[in-house]
Amino acid sequence: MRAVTWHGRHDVRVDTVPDPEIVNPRDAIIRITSTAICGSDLHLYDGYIPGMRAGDILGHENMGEVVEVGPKSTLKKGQKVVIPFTISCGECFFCQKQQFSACDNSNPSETSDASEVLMGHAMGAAFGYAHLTGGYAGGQAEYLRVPYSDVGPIVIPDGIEDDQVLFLSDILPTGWMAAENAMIEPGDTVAVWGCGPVGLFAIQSAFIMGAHRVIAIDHYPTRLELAKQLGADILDYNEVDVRAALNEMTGGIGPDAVIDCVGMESHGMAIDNVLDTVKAHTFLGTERPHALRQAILACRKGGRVSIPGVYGGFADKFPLGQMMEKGLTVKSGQTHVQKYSKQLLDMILEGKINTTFLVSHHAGLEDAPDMYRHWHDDQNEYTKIVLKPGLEKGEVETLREFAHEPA
Amino acid sequence: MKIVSRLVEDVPGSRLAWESEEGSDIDTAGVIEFEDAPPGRGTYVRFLMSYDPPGGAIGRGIAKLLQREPTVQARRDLRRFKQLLETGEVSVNASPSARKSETPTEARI
Repeated sequence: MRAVTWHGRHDVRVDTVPDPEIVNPRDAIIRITSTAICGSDLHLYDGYIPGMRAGDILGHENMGEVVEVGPKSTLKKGQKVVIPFTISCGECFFCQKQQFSACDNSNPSETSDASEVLMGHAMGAAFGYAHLTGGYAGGQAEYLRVPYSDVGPIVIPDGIEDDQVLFLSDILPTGWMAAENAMIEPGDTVAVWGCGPVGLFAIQSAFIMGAHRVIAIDHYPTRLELAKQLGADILDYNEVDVRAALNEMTGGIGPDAVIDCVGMESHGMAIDNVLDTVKAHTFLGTERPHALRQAILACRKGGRVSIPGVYGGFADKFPLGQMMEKGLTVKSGQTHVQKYSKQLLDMILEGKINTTFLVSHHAGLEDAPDMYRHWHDDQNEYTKIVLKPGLEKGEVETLREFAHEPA
Repeated sequence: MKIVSRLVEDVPGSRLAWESEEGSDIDTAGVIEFEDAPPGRGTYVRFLMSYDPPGGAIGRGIAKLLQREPTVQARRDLRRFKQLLETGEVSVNASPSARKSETPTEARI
C-alpha cells in the first residue's frame, strides 16, 4: 500500500510499504477514507518529539471502512468507523477509570521502557506518534491496523459525511476536554491561546459549557476570523499587548480560566521565545512554552489553567512561583478520547457542534509532502488539511476563501 | 548454555521459589510472590532473582546493551504477563513501516 512516512526533520515522503495484517485477536484492519494532518504532526515534522525512526508511518486522525476483523473484534466488515488516536485496552486500572490516554497495556513492553525513564511511568500508546508512545504505524496510508478494536472505534451511522465526524478521532474531544479542564462557571471569561483546530473546538466547547465570554489569541487573520465567527473576542498579539488587553477586558482581574492550545512550539518574537528557539536548535531544550508562560501570568488569582497543548519534556523559565502565589489550578493531559466519543457524536448528529467550518483543504496521499510543507509554512491559508486516499495526485480541493487583512 | 532449575517452594496462590541445580552453567535462584493489592487494584506480582553473570560486571554490561540482561527481560516479561492477563493478548506494535528489514507482523522496537 501507499503510506505517508517520516524520514527526518522536514522530510516527509510517500512510500510503498507492506499492507498491515491482523496480529492479535482483538485487531481490525480498516481501509482509510479520511485522515487529517494534526498540529501535533508539526512537532514530528520539526523534529521536536524524541523517539521517531526513519520510515515511520504518520497519522493519528483516522477514519475508514472495516475490511478485516480478528476473532475477538466486535466490529463488522463494511462498518464506517472513526478511530481515536489513543490506543486503549479498556481493561486496565486507568481505562476502567476512563483515563484512556493513560492506558497501562497498549504501549508494548519493548517501547514502554523508554517512556518510563523519561516520564516516570510508561505512557499510553497512540497511532503514528513516535516510539515513546508505542511505535504503532499511523493512518496516513491506505490501510491501518487497529488494536483493541472492540474498545476504541466509533461506529458511524450511514449517510454522514467523513468531514462531519472525522475529528472525533482527536481534535474535537481534545478541545472539549480542554474546556472541561478549565472548569467553567457561569459568568466566566475564558482566554484561549492558539486558534488552530483544537483552539477553535475549545472555544465552541467553552461557550456550550456556559462561558460568558471567550477571548481568542493568535496572529493569523484567517484563524482569528474563524474564532470571531464562533462568537469569540479576538486579540492579535502582533497588534496588542496581550496581558494588558486581557486585564483591561476583565476589569483588571484577568480571565477566570486560560487554555493553552499552542504547546511546545510557540510563535512570536518575544525574548523568551527567541531564547527557547536557540536552545531547541542546539539540543539544549525541547520546549518553547512562551504561550503557557503568558497564560499563567494572565490568569486571574485562584483561576484555572488548562493545557491541551503538547509538551515533550523539561521546560526552562517556567513561572512556578506565579502559579503557586496566585493559587492556580492546573489540569492537563492527552485526551481520554473514548470517554467523550458517544456524547460528542450525538452532539454532531443533533447539529449542536459545527465540525466542518475549519477544513480548508482536501488532498490525496501522494500530495502529502506538499501538504505538510503548506501546513508548516502557510498557516493562514491552511487551517485544516484532510487527506483522502481516494483523491488522485494533484487533485487538491480548496474549500475556503481567506481573509488577508487583520480580522 | 544450560540451566536446570528445581522448585524449592510452592505456596499455592502466593509464592514460588527455585534454585539452579549443580552443574548448571549459571548459578541462579529466584522467587515470585503474589499479594492482594488494595480492593479493586488487582494483584501485586513481585519477582526477585539472583544470578552470577558470565563475564562478571562486563558480561552483564554487554548483555544489557544487547537487551538480553535478565533485569530488562524480566521487566518486559512482567509487563507482557500483565497485558495477557488483563486484555487476553500481548500488546505488539506490529505494523508496516518503510524500513525494508521489518514485516507487518513483527514487533517494532
